[in-house]
Amino acid sequence: MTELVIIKREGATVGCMVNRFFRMYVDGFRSMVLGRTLWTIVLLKLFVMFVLLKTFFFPDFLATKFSTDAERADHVLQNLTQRSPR
Amino acid sequence: MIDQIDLGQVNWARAQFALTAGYHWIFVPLTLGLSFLCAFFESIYVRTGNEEWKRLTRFWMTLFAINFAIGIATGIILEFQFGTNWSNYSWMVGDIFGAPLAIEGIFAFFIEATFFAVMFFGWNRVSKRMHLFSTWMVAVGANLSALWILVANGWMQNPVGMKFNPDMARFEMQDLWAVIASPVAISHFAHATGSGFLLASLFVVAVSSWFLLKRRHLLFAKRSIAVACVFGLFSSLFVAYTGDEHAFITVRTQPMKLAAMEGLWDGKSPTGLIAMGIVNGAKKPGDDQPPFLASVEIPGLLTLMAHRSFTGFVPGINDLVSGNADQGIEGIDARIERGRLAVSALGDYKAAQKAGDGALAQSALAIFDDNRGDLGYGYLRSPEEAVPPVALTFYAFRLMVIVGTFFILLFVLFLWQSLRGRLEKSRFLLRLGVISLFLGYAAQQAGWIVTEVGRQPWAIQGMLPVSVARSNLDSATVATTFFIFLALFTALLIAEVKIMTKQISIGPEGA
Repeated sequence: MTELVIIKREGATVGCMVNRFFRMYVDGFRSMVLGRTLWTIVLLKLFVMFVLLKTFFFPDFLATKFSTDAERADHVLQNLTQRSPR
Repeated sequence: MIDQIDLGQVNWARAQFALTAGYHWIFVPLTLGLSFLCAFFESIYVRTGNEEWKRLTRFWMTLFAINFAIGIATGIILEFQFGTNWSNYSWMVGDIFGAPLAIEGIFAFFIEATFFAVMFFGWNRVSKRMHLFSTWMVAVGANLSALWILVANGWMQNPVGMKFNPDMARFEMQDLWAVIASPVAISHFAHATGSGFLLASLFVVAVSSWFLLKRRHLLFAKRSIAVACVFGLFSSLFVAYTGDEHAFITVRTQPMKLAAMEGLWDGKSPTGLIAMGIVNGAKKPGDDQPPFLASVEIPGLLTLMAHRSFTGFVPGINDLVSGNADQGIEGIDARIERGRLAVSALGDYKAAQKAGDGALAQSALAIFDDNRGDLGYGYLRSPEEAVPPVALTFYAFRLMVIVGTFFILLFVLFLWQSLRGRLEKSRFLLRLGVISLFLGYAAQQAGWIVTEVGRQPWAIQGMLPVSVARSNLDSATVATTFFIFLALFTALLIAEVKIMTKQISIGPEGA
C-alpha cells in the first residue's frame, strides 16, 4: 500500500514537471515581444533556404544525376582520372 | 584534359563559399563569446542576489538572442554548396565528415531545444541555479558545437586518420580519434573559439562605451566593461598563445602556407619576421626580384616561432617549389611526378576492373598505393600552382596579428581606467572602444583569409585541389547563386544591425 502511494506521488511529480515544462514553452512563446520578430526572421530564412534555394538552386549534384552509389563513385573516379594534365 | 576545366566556375564557386563563410563568421564568434559572458554576468547575479546584475544579464542575453536568431543555420548553406558546387569533394569526404557533422547537428538541436528555452523562457519559472546551469550549458554547447566544424576544417588542412578507397573514390575513416585529436584541429578550435571570446568582449566594451559616451546607464556600462575586459584580456592572451602554437604546427603541416604568411621566398637559419612590409606583387618563384618593396624585419623571430629556438631552417616558397637538397626538402616537381603516377594508376585500375583483368588491376593498385600520398599533386600543371596568393595571405596575417596585439593593450587600458574610476572621463579611450569592435570583425575575417587562402590550391591539403573538387557545372549557374546569396546575406546583416542597434538604444529597460 505504502509502495503504491510512493509510485503514485512520483508519477504525479513527473507529470507535474512535464506540465510545468510545457507551460514554460507555451507562456514563453505567448509573451514574446522582440522574439516574435526574431522568430519571423528565422522562419522566413529557413523557408527561403530549404524550400526555395535548396529545391531550385542547390540540388545535390550527384544525387540528382545518378541513382546508385556505384554510379556516383564511377562519375567521381572518371573526374579524378580525367582532370589530370597528363 | 586540364584545358577542359572551367576555371571561371571554380572561381565563382570559391567566391560563393568565401562569401557564405565570411558572412557566417560574422554571427558565429559573437555567439560563442557572448554566451560565456552572459553566463559570467548571471553567475555574479546568482552569487550576489543583486537584481541589477539580473537586469544586466537579461540585456546582454537579448542581444545574444538577436545575433543567434539572425545567424542561425547560415552555416547549413555551406553544406548546400558542397553538394551542388563541390560534389566531387563532397562525395570523397562524406565518410570523414559524416560523423563530426552529425554529432554537431544532434548537439545543436538538443542544446537549442532545451537549455536555450530555459535560458529565455525560464526566468522566475525555474530555480536560479537551474537557470544559471542552462545558461552555462548553452555556452558550453555552442562552443562544443563549433568543435566538430573545426575538426572537419582541421582535417581538410591536415588529412589524417583516413585511407583512400579507389573502388568508391572516397576517403574512408580509419581512426576517428586521430581526426578529432589532430593537433591542427585542436589548435584551430582553440584559436577560433578564443577569438570569438575576444570579439564578444569587444562587443560588450563597444556597446558599454557608447552608453558612457552618451552618459546613459553608467553603472550598468561600467560593470559590463569590468567583466568584459577581464574576459577579453584573458582571451586576447589566449588567442596570442594559440596563434603562436598554430604557427608552430603550420610550419610542419603546411609549410607553404607559413611561407606565404611571412612572404618568405628563400629560407634561412635564423630567419627574421617581417613586422611590416609592402609585398612585391610581381615576384614569381625562382626569379631575382626582391620579395618586398619596403619592409621592417625583426631578426631571428620567425625561426624562434617555428622552432622554439634561434637555430633551425624555415623553408621559403622557392625551397618548397624547387627543393633544397641541403635541407632535405624535395621539390614539387617530384611530387607532381608521383601524383601523376597515382592518377594514371587509378585510371588503369578502373579500366582493368571493368575489363575483368585481375592481375592488371592488382599491379595498377600497387603503383597507386606507392604514390597515393601525393595524389593531389598529380593535378597541378606546374610546381608554381602550389603557391597560394602571397600578398593577400601576408597582409591578412599582419592585420590579424597587429590588431590582436592592439586589443591586449586596449583591454589593459580599459581595466586601468576602470580601477582608477576615470572611465567616464576617458572619452578618447571610449571612442577607441567603440571603433575597436569593427577592428575585431576585420581581424576575424582576416584570420579565415589566412587559413583558407593560405592553403590554396587545395580543397584537401596535398590530396585534392579545388579544380578537381568542383562539380561539372557551368560558371553562369554558380554566378547566379552567388548574387542570390549576396542579396540574402546582406539583407540578414542589415536586419541584424537594425534590430541590434534599436535594442541597444532602448537599453537595459527593454530586455
